Amino acid sequence: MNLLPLIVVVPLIMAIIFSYIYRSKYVRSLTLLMALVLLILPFLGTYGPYFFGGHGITFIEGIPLVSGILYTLNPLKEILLFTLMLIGSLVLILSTKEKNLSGVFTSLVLMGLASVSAVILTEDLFNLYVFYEIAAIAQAGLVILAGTENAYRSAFKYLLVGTMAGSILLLGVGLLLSATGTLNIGDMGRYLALNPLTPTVYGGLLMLIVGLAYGGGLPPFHTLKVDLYARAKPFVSAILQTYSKFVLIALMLVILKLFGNLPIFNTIRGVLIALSVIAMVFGTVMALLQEDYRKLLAYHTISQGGYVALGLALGTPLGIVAGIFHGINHALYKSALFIGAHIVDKVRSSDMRKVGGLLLTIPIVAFLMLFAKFASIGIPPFNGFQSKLLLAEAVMGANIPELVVLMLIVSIGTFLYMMKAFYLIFLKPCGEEQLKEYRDVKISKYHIFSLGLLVVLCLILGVYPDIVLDRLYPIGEEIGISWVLR
Amino acid sequence: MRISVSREVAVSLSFLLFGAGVFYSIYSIDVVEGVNAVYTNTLIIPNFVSAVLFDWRGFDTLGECLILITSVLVTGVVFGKGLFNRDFLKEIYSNEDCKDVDLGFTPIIKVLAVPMGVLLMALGIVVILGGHITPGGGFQGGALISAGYILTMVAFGRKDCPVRFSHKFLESLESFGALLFLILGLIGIIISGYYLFNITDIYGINPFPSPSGIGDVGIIPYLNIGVGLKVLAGLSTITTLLISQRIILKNIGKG
Repeated sequence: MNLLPLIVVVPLIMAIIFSYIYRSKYVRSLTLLMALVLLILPFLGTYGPYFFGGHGITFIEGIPLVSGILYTLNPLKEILLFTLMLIGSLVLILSTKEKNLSGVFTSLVLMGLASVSAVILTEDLFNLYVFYEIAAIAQAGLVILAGTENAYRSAFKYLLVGTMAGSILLLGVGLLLSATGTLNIGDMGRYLALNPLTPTVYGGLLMLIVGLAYGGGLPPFHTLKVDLYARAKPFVSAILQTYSKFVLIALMLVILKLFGNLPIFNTIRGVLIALSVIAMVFGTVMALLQEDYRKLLAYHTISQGGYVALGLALGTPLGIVAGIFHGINHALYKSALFIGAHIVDKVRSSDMRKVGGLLLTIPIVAFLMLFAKFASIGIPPFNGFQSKLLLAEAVMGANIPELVVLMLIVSIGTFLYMMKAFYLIFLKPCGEEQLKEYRDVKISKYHIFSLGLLVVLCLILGVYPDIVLDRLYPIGEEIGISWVLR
Repeated sequence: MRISVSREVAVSLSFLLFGAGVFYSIYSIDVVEGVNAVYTNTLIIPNFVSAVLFDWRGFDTLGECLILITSVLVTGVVFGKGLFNRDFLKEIYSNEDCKDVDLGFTPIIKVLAVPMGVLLMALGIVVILGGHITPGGGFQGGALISAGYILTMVAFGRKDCPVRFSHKFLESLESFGALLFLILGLIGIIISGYYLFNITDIYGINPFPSPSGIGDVGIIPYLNIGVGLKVLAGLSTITTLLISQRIILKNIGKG
């Protein structure tokens, strides 16, 4: 029996139950239990298609059309789901150490996990839109939970722009439905390949790109995302940025499946590469100017999102593989960095001018964070090196060598601000009184365990990248464009 | 001054370009029938719209319900439910006493509000229960019932409102409606292997009986009831939160 829908349904049921018993005294133990259940979920499904409600494929005038909602599972989706659930369960484990934990936090995290899994799994445009909206609302709620004035302000801004961008995406889905007569992505791609493109399809494509930019944090919506990551509690930002990255990957794959083999893809590729290059450069330049560690990490997230979008926008098989691999790596080391920022925030504050000399108090955390920073810069033997090397190979294969130079410059900028942050937080000399204050703060074992686990995963993927890459290559060959740019 | 003028010009130009693109796309629309031929040629229940909503695209409807649930949850969070840090809200509500909003309407409105509210609720129940035969369904019926509640609430104020839904009751109703939908889907997995499968018989017995004369409608009326309960509870909860300060003060631990 195929239990694929349980990946989405079990977190939803638990989210409703948690929101009902949000003041109970068992919330902490139940949250720990839920964190363990999440790790089992990605292995419940079997590979292949899954038709909701038992409606299979119907033939109309000899053309096969999917009449209901279709989900598919393949190795690529499984590895994405496993990464998502791993980071989600680590965040849930860390949340049990917070002072004012209530069931509402767990409920919103589970809603987000379920909706992003549905966005990854689905082969149906309207279903994708519905769960995309749930993910956006849940993210705003997670930011408001921090309870500060700035958090309220940034979440309201995000929701206001989100109503507009979500409506535009819905209009685009409606236009594509009217032009092709189906909502299933495979059927729609087949229809578009066989029939001439109308202005309606162009409008739908434009609106899909607007929705992609909002959900994935590409320009012109990147400032909203930066606000979110910087204002939420740092360990919550770890799960927020994972949501955005995976929504970005899923929507990029949808655009590739729909328009990848059409002549218009040249134009789309130009637009998407422009967006991702702006994200890379802007994120790096702004991060160099930041005084606050959380803001610095938020801008770094935007610049790495540019890398992911660049790989996927190339549309070649190697580019798709490199982009998705970089997305997975990014989720891992970035979550480690955000958890480290949470520890620094607990000890003193996230303002880099006020801290210093933490190396003497928490040496283990300092070294783990240094390794995570190495992974984000792209120093061997960590995973960032492997995926950036693959990306450079893919860009060279697509005949755009200027972008490789740009990627190198962006990496050097990343090295500069990451090392500046490390010096200011851990190595800068400080007085005896400050050191005494630091020693009063207890760091729990959970934080160090999760940080260590993520860094070890980074190391394993850096030494044996084939664990993930072997699962990605067939999918890249299947989706990638079959013609070469002259 | 100059910066703001140039910014306005840029905004209006981009708005015009984008709007022209959208209008051109919509103007040149040419609808392809495609998969809709299947929807209109297969009889599951007399109301085709409900058939698409609850049978072919039942999972999408579940998603729509969950959008409402998440919105209600986030509205509660905005008003202090389960925050990590409540200092900001305490500062805002420090000078407020625990008084509910009473807009002080005239007796004419108060006299008219009660029968109209009762009528709206009765109509809402009819619309929910007949969702698979007549136009309408769970969303519309739930909105009607909550409209009746909101009308009386606005006319009388929260304290002497004739329709008394407590906050806890509404929360339970909402959770129950959503869980009913999800669990009916799980029964489909157990019986046929497909989520949200429309069950009409198990070993020759129909487990979900329906009135005679409309054929076997399966679980669709029950899904309608679940959606209706959830929508009425959700919209009423949002109104309750917006109109009464007592809940907010209780959330942030004051009074």
